[in-house]
Amino acid sequence: MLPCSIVSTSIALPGISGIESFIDLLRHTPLEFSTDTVDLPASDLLPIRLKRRMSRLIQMTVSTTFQARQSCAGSADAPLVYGSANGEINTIGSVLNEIFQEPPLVSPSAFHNSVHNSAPGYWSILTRLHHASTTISAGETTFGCALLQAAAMLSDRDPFVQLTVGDEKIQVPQWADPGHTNIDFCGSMVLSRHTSGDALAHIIDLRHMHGPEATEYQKEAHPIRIASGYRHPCAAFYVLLEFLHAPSSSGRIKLVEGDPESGCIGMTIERS
Amino acid sequence: MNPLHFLDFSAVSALGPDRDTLFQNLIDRRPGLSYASSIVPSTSSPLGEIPFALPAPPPPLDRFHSRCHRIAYACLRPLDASIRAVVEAFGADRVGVVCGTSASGNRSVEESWQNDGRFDFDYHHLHTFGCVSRLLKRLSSLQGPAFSVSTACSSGSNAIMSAARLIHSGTCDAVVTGAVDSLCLTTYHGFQSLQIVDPDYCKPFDADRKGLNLGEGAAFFILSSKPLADYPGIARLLGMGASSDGYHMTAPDPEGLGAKLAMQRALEDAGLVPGDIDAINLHGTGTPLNDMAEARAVYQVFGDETPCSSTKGYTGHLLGAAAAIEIAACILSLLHGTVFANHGMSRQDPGIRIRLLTEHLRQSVRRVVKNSFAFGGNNTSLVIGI
Repeated sequence: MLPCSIVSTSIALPGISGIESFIDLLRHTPLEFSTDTVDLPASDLLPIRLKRRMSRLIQMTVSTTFQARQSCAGSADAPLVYGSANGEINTIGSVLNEIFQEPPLVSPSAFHNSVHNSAPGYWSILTRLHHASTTISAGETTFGCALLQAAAMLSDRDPFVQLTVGDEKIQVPQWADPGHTNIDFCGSMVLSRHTSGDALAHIIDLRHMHGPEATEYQKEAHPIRIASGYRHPCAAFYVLLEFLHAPSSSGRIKLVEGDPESGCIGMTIERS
Repeated sequence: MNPLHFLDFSAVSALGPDRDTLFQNLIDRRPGLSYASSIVPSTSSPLGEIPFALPAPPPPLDRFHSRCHRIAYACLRPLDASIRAVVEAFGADRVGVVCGTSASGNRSVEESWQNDGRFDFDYHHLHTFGCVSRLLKRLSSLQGPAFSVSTACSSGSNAIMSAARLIHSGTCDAVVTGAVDSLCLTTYHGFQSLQIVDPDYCKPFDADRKGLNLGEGAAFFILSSKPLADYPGIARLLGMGASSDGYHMTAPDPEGLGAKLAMQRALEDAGLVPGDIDAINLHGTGTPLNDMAEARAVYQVFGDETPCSSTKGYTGHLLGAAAAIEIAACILSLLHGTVFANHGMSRQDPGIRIRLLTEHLRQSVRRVVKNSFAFGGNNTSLVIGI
């Protein structure tokens, strides 16, 4: 695996849309959110007609993907790796409610919005881009596996790859373990195979591991959580964004997702 | 790209529990579609439902008991020996799992709802998209990375492309890959709502086609960086191409621009030209818009000479597993020198100018292109060869 660089980022969190407001948030310790869901305003990118049809996850994905790409010249055709543990679980929940009504009447738009890759689909429709795109899900290692995939694309041939990872708070289906994801969060970054220049940071180690190697790696790793009381499958990405943008952070951070028995993704990132 | 090696594969669908019955039913032109269904008893269209019993994963993995997982387990079992061989050759930590799925455990939620409506339901073992890959990893005692790919009807091809990248990047030496999906009420009623289901047997590329028939199943492959002594390889992955339509969530770009890009990128990746391709296994769902757009794209890239067919008239549309079962059919074409007929078509749409096969074509088949397209305008093409 080639070392690679993080050249731009963006984030959506409750009350936060974009890096500038995120940096403001990081000045508050401990982090506090007045709500656990994201409500983005309608915009040129999210026209009100389409916004009404989109889940919060789709809105967050489109917005963060746009912002990160806008900050990186040359990445317009970059492939998109999209990671989400639960995908459109709230929409699936509403479709399941509909099919058990009598007669079962499913909304066509709810049905096509229920597929896991709805968000990257909308992104390409809104931007009319023809890039390659894939969607990955791996529970608590969703971010790490998506990053492995993005890095593999870079080492293959692509100069830039965009990685967007997110999940929305589970609300509709009670069977889907709502406590597992109780806050909206989505983040995006553009990765470059070039490690020089004005990169935000460099990924100097990225690997899958298990057993004693993973246990050792974990000992030095940074704790993974967004804020007290909140659980999110992609929290490691939040911690990475915090490391990249908190005024006080410097040097390296080591992150591990997963557990040593079933397998971990470990990564070390160094700020430029 | 550096070619990768398919060392072994298995397939489970309405056509049968293994790859031999898949081949025999394709050759005999015996589709697996029927109006008899235990999942949708009142179905108004034929379904490719697996008609035989599906085994549950053994303890302690019996918590993964969704229909999707049982299909996956049935499909994985024939690969025990070849998985052992790659583990012995490379080490368990060098073998990963990448599995495509679209509906995942929806059927389990439905069963829970229908049984008692209480939802004492194990979401993490039955529904999350990542759990099927976790199951396959644990069933095979593998220690490499495991994740699922979910891009609707192109999930299987995207899973294989992800697996190939893990090998090319040096993360893995071999990957168990492919895709699985089960029938469920959600997809049945969902596609009915989109009004793209044929109430009769589907007829891809026919002038009178009305839509698709749903199916279920799985196909898994052992993709490896190199052949092994006992598994010298049955086919090779030569090229991969992907694109987005950027057009509509369900309707394809009418001119097939995204599909054309995916095919061109796959050929370029393989270092081949259209004339090098012996046959194309089409996405060919049987919907009026999809078939027309795909035919236009194929015509622009390949002209009207390359033999083409869709195998969805035999299996139905396996959604997340469609590409996987159709790649299995492609490998069977390579192994047996047969391009399968486009079943169901009696009169080719006069607006479609590609060469669609109404009978099996027996000839040397060295390289095939496999197209798969999906909701969200997600397009993939793979080049597979001997």
